Amino acid sequence: MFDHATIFAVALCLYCISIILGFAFAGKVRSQSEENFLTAGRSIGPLVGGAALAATQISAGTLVGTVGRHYATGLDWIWIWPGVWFGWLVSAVFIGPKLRACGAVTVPDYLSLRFESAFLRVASALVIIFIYIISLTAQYQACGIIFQTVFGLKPIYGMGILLIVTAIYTTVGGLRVSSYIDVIQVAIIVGSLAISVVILLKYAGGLRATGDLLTMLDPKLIRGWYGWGQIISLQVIFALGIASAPNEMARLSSMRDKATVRYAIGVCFIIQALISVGILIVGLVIRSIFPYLLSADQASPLMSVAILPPLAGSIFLVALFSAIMSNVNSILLVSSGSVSHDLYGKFINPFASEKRKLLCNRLSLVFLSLLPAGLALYGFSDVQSTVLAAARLVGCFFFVPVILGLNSRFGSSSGAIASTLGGGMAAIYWETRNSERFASIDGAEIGILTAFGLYILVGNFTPRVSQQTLRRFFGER
Amino acid sequence: MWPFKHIIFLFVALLGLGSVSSATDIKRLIAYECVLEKYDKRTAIISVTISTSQGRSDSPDAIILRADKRVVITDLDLKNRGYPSEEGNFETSEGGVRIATNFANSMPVVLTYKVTSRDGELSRFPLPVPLIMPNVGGASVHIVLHLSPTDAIFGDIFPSFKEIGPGEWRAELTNVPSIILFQSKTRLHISWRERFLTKAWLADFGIIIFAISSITILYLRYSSRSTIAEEPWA
Repeated sequence: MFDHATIFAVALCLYCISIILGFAFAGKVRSQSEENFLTAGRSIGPLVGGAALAATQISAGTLVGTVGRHYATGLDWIWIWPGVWFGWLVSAVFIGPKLRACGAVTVPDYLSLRFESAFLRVASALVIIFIYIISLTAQYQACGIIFQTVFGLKPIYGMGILLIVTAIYTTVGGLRVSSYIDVIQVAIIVGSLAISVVILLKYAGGLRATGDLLTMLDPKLIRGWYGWGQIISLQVIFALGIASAPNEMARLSSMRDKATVRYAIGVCFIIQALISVGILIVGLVIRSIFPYLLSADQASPLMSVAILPPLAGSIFLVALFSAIMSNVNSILLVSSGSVSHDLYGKFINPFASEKRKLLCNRLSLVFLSLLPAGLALYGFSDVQSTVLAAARLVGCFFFVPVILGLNSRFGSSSGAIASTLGGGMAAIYWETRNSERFASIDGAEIGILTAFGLYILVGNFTPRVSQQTLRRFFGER
Repeated sequence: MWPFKHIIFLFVALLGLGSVSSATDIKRLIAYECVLEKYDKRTAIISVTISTSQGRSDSPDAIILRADKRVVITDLDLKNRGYPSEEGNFETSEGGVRIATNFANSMPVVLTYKVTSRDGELSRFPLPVPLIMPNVGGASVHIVLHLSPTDAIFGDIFPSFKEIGPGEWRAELTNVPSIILFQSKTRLHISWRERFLTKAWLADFGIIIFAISSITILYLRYSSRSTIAEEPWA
């Protein structure tokens, strides 16, 4: 009666309109100050918080990129999940509750308070903007692929729609609105993955038949694509990227208290476990049904259009689009927060009114959403590689100063600056110059070792932070 | 209303950028002519003609034919009209049959094979997949299915076939699938249960029920409370 493209177009329109009208305008009433806008008034509970954490991490990188990696490399990509979960564990025990307790609004806010450095605030804000422009590029790229596969349109149109919808609801809504939208998105993603798995297995003739064909196509798809060295590198990248991701920390700072943060991370674990199994099966079965795609990133949009029934396929596409929206939204909130709160509010115009800072936040949000869309048009790499590059940089720039700063009284301002900048720069240098020569060693490993070394070394020879600051974070000795 | 003016301006600028990019030009098309020469519920003889608009791809020239525990593939025959003297090199394994061939000069390759179901009625038909990739976007792959004029297909159908004439069905895809899925019967003997009680219809029906019940529950909760934030779980 109706084809996938028509139903998807209608479902997407309904979804976007309901989100923008229903939630965003409701959220505007509540987001009257900049801090309230960025932290949702610190009122989010464990279930909504857990779904928001999961939705923030489940992005195009997962539903397009990870499905694509399973499609291209088979079973082995499942090993990244222990890395992701280890990252959550580190966050739950060593980072999340402590960061929530210290009261910082953004990661630069925390770094500058903990290490008494205005320079660190500015530098980390700029680094966040740089990294998240890379990360946003992947999301726009995935959105372009979806629209290209479903409608045969140029990617620019999909990117344009994403840009408009996300910019509107992020600009108007803030973190509270996006947290509630995340709950809906997670429900749609988990539900549509469950339906997809059942139908795909029916079509492919079961897991056994899928495995047999994959073995014939390339035995490495089942027996192992990556060496253990590569798997450990990938796990390190994801663990560091999750544990110290500024956009995840922004979600943590929106929760009620420390206990809520721990519960929310537990909820997030369960949601991600369901999603990881779902996308593994989806990726493998699509490979067995469509053995040769031009781009592995096409796998999940193609499944929605060519394999699933019209309504189920359209719902999955809406889930894909909403995951991208959710991730873009969280990234835009953090990046624009870095501009308004850390660069403008604390550095350029410290006496700015709340209204002016909110205006600066929303303006920067609109402009920061445009640049990655332009970059995505040129499609530098596949979606998952771009997500990996961003996760690698997040870990190398922020993991060491955040985790050591929160858990140890040791540390100096200069040590934190050297660690933040040195770790990230070492990873970039390694990836651009030396990765060919020592392919088994990833830039993330080099970056994190450099950051750790510089934190200890420089921290030893430069003045420590004052007792007054330490008391704020660790209490009396 | 200032953000909306900016957004519209930026969108127009983006459209301008996009109009100069040309990512969706289709360079390679794959046409399939899939004919069920004989079909008697448990066995079928299938003839597939594969034409490509561009040969010699970046992958080695070969065809994969999917095997399954439930179906047996026999009587393989390959004709490559570009190289009539060349015979296909068949390599059979648990997952299927790999056939070395030669796509060149846009000449069609014809593969004929017999499929026999080991258990029950045959509904999953393996399709030969060439190791060449069509371009992204557009309907690069056409599959035409020829049945008896009095028959129709029903049940879980993949890909989405549309009837183009008596006993003729056509599907358009962006890539080549390794199977096609359908059941066939004389048109008048297909019951409504066989037509509608399929996994695909049930999935769509389930979504509609879920959506209606969710909206009803949310409406009832909202009508008794003012906001989500006041919910005990929020």
